[in-house]
Amino acid sequence: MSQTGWSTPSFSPQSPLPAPPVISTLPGQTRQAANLWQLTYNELYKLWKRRLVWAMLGLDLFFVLAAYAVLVFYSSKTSDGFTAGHLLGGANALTDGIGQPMTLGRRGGEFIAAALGGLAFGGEFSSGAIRLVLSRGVNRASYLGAKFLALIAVCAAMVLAELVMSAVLVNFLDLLPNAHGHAPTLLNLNGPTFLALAGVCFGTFENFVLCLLLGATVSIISRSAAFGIAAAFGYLIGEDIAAQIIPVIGKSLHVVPLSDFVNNLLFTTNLNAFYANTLPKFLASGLDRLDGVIACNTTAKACETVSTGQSFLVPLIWALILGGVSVYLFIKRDVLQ
Amino acid sequence: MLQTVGLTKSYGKRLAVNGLNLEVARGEVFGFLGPNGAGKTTTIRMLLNLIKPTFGEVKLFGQSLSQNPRSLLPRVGALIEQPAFQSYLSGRDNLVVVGGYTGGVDARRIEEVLEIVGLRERGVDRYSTYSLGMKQRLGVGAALLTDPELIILDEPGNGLDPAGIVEMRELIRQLAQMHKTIFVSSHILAEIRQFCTRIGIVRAGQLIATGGVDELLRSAGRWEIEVEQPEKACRLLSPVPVMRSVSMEQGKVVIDAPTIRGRDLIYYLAQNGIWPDSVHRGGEDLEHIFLRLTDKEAGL
Repeated sequence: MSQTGWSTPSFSPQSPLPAPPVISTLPGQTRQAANLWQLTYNELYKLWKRRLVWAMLGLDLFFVLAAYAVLVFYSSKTSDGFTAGHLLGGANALTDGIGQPMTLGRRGGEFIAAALGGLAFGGEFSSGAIRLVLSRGVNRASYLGAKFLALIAVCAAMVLAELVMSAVLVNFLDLLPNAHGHAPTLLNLNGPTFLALAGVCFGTFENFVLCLLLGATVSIISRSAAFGIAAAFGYLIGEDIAAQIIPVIGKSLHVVPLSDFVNNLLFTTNLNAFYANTLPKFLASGLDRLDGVIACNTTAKACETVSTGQSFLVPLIWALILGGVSVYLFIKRDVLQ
Repeated sequence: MLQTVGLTKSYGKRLAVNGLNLEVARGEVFGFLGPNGAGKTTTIRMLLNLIKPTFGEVKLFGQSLSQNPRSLLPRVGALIEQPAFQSYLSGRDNLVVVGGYTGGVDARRIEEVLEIVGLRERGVDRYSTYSLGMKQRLGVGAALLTDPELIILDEPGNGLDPAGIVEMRELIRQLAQMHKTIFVSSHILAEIRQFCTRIGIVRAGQLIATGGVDELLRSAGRWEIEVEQPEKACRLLSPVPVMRSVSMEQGKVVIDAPTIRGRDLIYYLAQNGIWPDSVHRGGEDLEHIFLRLTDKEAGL
């Protein structure tokens, strides 16, 4: 058996470690932590650079496109789809042509908004990035506010993109064989249509913001993106089930006013509150499984118009509760990540 | 520059940090040593306003941190444990974002920092593709971004390969030469003694020793003696009053006697018929001092 001696790695003086570069200073700079607007700009920059946000926006538009395809399918199935009293006929034709894809596509947008809220806050807690932010002296309330403002801007962008896409797509309805020049186009836009569409947009925006708050708050409480998103999704899926069970329980226990109150309180946020009465009944009856459990609730077997006051008040209460909890916890709790 | 006054943090009945009084002067490189769970990271988090102290106060640049974090913390650069950036952004974009927290940093400075930490070539790559060492270097880059007066580094050598550790050490030396005040925590003593001018040793949330590295080393007196009969030598040396401790390690007699001279030791052994093969002053290294202090405090 041959033996080899110990060898030691040879040190090569020809390849020393590179000398570190010279560090310069930034003389005379006095720094302050960024204010709310600077932080908001920073958050928007982060969102702009995040591919996932763009993918979600694309997914949201895909939902609208899918809803539009369903609309086209039903419109072309009947020869009188574009006559008054039918799917896309009459005075509300343009409102329906733009509003319905948005309404049907909105459900997907709710999940996206909840996921964004969960990722934006829980992600920083999970990865520990939050300590880098707060160790720079950033005011916690300002940071939270900036994050919400940036995410709200994304929600607004989602609604706007949905509106633009629906508004563009509606013009192609005229190409359907049975439209015969009766399909609505943007040329039919008038005051009442504009107001109705503004209601659709505002209601959708309000809804997205509440879903965003829900995802964000749960992720702040749990300090986990996954838990925040799962809980928010659980609510969005479970609400349809719960909203149908609660009235039944209320009836069987003879406490209908109480069950109505609970239902209103819990689920009015998910209404087509601003435009429930603009939906055609045949569409609304199908919507109860998709969207708007109160507006088109199962016990009433029809769409109910919710007052504008309630449309504002209930979401406002929810926003205050969710916002208050997240602000309190974010400011008061130690950063242990 | 940095001062803590009776800094205390408790979680329920457990005291993570207990009445810590620290003072770090301008231009000092202060090593904050302690075993895992000693309260180093909790202390650093309180220095950075991430954790609110139960009692006590942190003063930065002579001002109370709790009163004015917005203007004090931007003057501090910090790397806390593992660096954590946005995984979906590139290294460069992450520095843009970090700069944005203190009102923005120009592109030239970002390039310069990437150059300093050796990430210029990889600046455009996503953070999620970085190795642990690269992430650590980007963390240091973020700490240097705004040219802070005080730099707080929590275990900066974590995850770095030997070459990276040498680079990091050089970087810290260079920063020290620029009269930056550096507060660096570590449990790797060899690392700390390379560049720290003063160290503090913490255990169970309490500062148990503080002083200059040389001062601490001078107070130590570790000798290693190679003899044929180590047991006999141990028996002989144990009763000698100047011996703080006598033990056997890997066949050698190891004594702790800071006041004894080598020649006296050889003479005493020879007089008693033990001829040492070698007598080596280990000069009890920082590690032994650290272990001795922390063990003593723990009652071991």
